[in-house]
Amino acid sequence: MNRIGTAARLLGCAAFCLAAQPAAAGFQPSPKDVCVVSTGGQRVDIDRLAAKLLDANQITSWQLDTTGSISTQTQINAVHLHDFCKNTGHCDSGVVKKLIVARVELEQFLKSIPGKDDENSEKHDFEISVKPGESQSLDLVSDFLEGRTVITCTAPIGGSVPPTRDAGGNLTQTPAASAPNPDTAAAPPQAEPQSQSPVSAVGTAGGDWLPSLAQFVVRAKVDDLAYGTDSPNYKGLSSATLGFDANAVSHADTYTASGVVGYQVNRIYYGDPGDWTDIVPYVGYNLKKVETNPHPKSGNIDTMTAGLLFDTLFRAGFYQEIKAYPQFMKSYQDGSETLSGTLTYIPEPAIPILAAPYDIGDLVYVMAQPSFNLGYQQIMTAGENKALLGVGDYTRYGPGLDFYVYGFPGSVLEKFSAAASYRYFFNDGLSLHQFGNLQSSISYTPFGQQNVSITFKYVVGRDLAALVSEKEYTLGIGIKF
Amino acid sequence: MTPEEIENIVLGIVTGWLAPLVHQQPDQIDVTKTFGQAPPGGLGLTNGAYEQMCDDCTTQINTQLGCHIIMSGPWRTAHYNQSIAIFVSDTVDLITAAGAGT
Repeated sequence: MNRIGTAARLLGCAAFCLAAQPAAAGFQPSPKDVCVVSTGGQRVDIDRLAAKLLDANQITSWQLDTTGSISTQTQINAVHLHDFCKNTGHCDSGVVKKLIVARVELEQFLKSIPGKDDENSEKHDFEISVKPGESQSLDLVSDFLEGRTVITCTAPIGGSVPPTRDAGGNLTQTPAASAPNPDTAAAPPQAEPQSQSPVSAVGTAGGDWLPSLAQFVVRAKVDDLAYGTDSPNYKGLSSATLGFDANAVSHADTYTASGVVGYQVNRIYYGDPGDWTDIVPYVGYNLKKVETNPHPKSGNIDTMTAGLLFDTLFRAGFYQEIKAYPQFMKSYQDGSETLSGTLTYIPEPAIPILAAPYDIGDLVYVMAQPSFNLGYQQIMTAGENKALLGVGDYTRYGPGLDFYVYGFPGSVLEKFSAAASYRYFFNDGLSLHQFGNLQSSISYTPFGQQNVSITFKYVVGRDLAALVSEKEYTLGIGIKF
Repeated sequence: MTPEEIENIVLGIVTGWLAPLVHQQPDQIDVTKTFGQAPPGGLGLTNGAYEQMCDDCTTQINTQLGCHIIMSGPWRTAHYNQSIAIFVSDTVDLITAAGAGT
């Protein structure tokens, strides 16, 4: 009986102890993993926190998108939006459940963070506060992911050593900090012999030559193949198209297909750390076929292209970039075959206006980019393409200048942007030994976002493909949601 | 030297390098902006200017902190479209991995 009583007490204790044990720690990221420095001190970076949360729940890129190609914004959306998988339709099975768990963990983590005036705020690594001008809702996760609340890191991101802060408790960026005084800076540490060997960061890009599905890219234009899905420019790229149009009045059916498929070979690094080369072999297809009765005599397009997009950056005194696009094109419509290509040389010294948009009076940013351009075409077979014979073989070369203006945020010109691109060519082709082309545009985004824009375009000079004279003014409204 | 002190120095070096190029004071530079993206989301640095910044900042960091870090090509590529803040934080990681600040 005594043994039974003891066993019962142990079982009872076990049950009590399990029940009394605090809930599992859940998601408790380290400040080192999620904090970044900012002008107001260290704060939790949303991108990093989302990535860490997904990682902690063993949710991989491949599970969120079966192509494995996702951006940091996609990771945030996956954590934030309850119907993420339903909307994208690209999630792997089982990931929906994991995302629910991740959201609950994030909520628990956010609940555990004290506010600035809370008693136990000193014991915690983080501190949560509402952004000035914002109001907090009942949804902690949305408040944080949508930027209404900010989490300050009260522990240093590099380790457990107490931070040194200024009187205001902030990490300051005084001009003195921009050029630290060697006398006031701490003495250089005496590194261990082994730590004197160069410490090189290993990044995520490059080094792996195995083909990956995510490196196949489909775009509308060859120029856009250089941008990956994680590039900030990705959103602005136009898409490859496949279409069918049936006109019941004229009894004409139109089939269209247009796009290029490229393979982004991992960036090749050579020489100094800043020297690299990108290569994207590609094939493209452009089809426009109109079926009417009687058959149309013109207007159909059926061309196949194959080429190589080459982009290299190297340092010779200063950094310089060369981009080249050799291409073979065959038309199944008129039987023509051409070899063509362009080569662009861009000097990229680190000097104002040429290196980055330059702030003028907190009103506009301006930037200029000079280039030297070379284009060539060799007609292998003209077939029935008379226009091609008119242009003939050629080699063109000459200077170019791209000019950009952006409205400064908060200024009266905030919603304006402008661009101009001028090319001048010396031509050794059949006609026109010299010609120029200017393309310019001014855009206005009335609501401060890129969804709606009003654009005025002005083009003057010679069309670079057909060499016909052109002078166009276009005023248009663009809407994108 | 604490990681935060190292961070202050790195932040000062990076913003001090960028300031004359974008014609702003170092403390005016918004560290949430990326290097590669055009304004308003980023600084819009050319590839060449960004690589030059990495070269120059590496030299300055190694001189001032007495360490020997290298920002490798893949590391630089991975940070081109990241914010200045993340670049600084990850550089501090490189420095602490090199033994400086401990």
